[in-house]
Amino acid sequence: MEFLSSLFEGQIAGERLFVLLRVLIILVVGLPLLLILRRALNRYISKHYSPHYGMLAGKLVFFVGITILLITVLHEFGFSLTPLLGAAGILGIALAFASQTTATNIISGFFLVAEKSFVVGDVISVGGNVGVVYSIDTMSVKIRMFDNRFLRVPNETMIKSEYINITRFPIRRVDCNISVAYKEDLTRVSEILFDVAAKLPYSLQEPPPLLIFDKFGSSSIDLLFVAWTRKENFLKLRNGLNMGIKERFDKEGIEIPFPHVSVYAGSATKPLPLDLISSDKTVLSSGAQGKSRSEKTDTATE
Amino acid sequence: MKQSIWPTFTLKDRDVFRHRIGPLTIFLKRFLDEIWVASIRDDETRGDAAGLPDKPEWMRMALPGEFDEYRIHPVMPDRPVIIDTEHSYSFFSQTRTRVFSRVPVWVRITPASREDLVIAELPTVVLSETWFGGFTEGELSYAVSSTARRILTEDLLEPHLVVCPMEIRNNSDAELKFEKVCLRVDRLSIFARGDALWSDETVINYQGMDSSTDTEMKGVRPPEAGDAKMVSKPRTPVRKSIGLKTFRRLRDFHIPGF
Repeated sequence: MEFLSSLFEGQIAGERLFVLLRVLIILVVGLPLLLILRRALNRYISKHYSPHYGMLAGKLVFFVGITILLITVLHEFGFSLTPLLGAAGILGIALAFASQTTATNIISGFFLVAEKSFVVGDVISVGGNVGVVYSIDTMSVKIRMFDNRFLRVPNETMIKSEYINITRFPIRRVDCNISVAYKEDLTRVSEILFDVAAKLPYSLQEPPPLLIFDKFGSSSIDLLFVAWTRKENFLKLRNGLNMGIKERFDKEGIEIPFPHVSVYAGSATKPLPLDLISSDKTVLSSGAQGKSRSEKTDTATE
Repeated sequence: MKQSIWPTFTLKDRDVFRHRIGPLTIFLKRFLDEIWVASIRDDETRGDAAGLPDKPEWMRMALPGEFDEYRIHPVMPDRPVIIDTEHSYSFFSQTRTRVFSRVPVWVRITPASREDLVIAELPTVVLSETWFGGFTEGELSYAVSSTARRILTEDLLEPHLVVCPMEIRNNSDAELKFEKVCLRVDRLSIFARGDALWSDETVINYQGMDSSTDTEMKGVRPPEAGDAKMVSKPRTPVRKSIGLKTFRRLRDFHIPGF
């Protein structure tokens, strides 16, 4: 009888050891295989389609794989999945109540991905911060800002707030605000502006550049000149246009006015005397030249 | 003896070779298994090659071996080019016409024995970029100042310009109005006769309704090219015909981005 009992116990222990061994093999083989599969899929899809889809496919495969592994392991240990799933449902509801923000972020994440307003690699502006979308994760969107700071925006915030996708469309418009003096010939100014744009190879001929008369300013005529370029060349065109316009205006003698301020104490008085003091303490006066420093102080006091 | 516009030449170690093609002068210098390439452009289209600038902007390339002989080939630009019809062009139903355009070629430099080893590709004329399509999608192209001509005279044949014949057929029941044509030069071959370059003929069949048209590249030299020899194959493999947007109509970009 004792012999039979020890044999039975030994068999149970052997079976448990065997189960443990099987679980170990499943985990040791399954987990690295899953990681390799995720990385390979991510690379393949990123290369052939886009990094955004690569990331999504990698995550999908990983989470599905992990779930399958977990179910297999539990099955090996002899757990029945039906009550477990029921319990998971109840637990899920409890957790959802306890962590509403987390749940909102997860659900918002699904909507963000489904809406496809931006993808990994797009340049977006959120709340005044501009950067490249680094990843769209379960809880948040990660952004690498241009000064190399890392910005994390919760998915819920992204869904609720306005954001601008700067690189969504293939071409972009560069706006140049230009002011010229009232005396200038606007036809000539217009010719120069279009010529500057035409000479920049990365300024697109179509859609054509456009000159808009903005307003009669307080000391200048204000114009808006716009030109189009590929999104990659935006900064190049902005620099090229502004520098080209300044250079051509200087060459052609076209005045770019800037505000001149004359200060008066009253309508009947002369301009206020003004001292310009150089580093060697020499006093240059606009109101009473040649007076000493002490005399000038008195004048100012008066 | 006059050197060919598209020569095969020997380049010894530390020698500098210079050659003019239209407004472009290229400089090649060999240093062991490296090739250095520089280029400048001027207003001349013929004559002697320009002198080496004081501070040339060299591009250095290390080759997988030492090569003595090199070759300069003409190739088509790497993007479609947009041909301006100068004025709005109307085609009545069931009308066909043949026009010629001139497109500046690119210069490809390779070792004579390894034409797959592209050392450099340089445009003879730097063309402005243009957009063919709408604000949300389209195609980056080059704008060509040459217009679509009905008659081509000998004086228009330049060594750096390839003449592209096009036959436009309006097979639809509607009138076709356009002001620009997109020429898919990456699907065209180049044929040379003397200093003149010709491409194979493009046949554009407008079917109406949709903006897409059937475009067919003939793949053989046009009759005007006489006994010209093929000097460059298409960049993109040619299919029998392709359906792509070809005409830029008047209504495109009627709201200029505001």
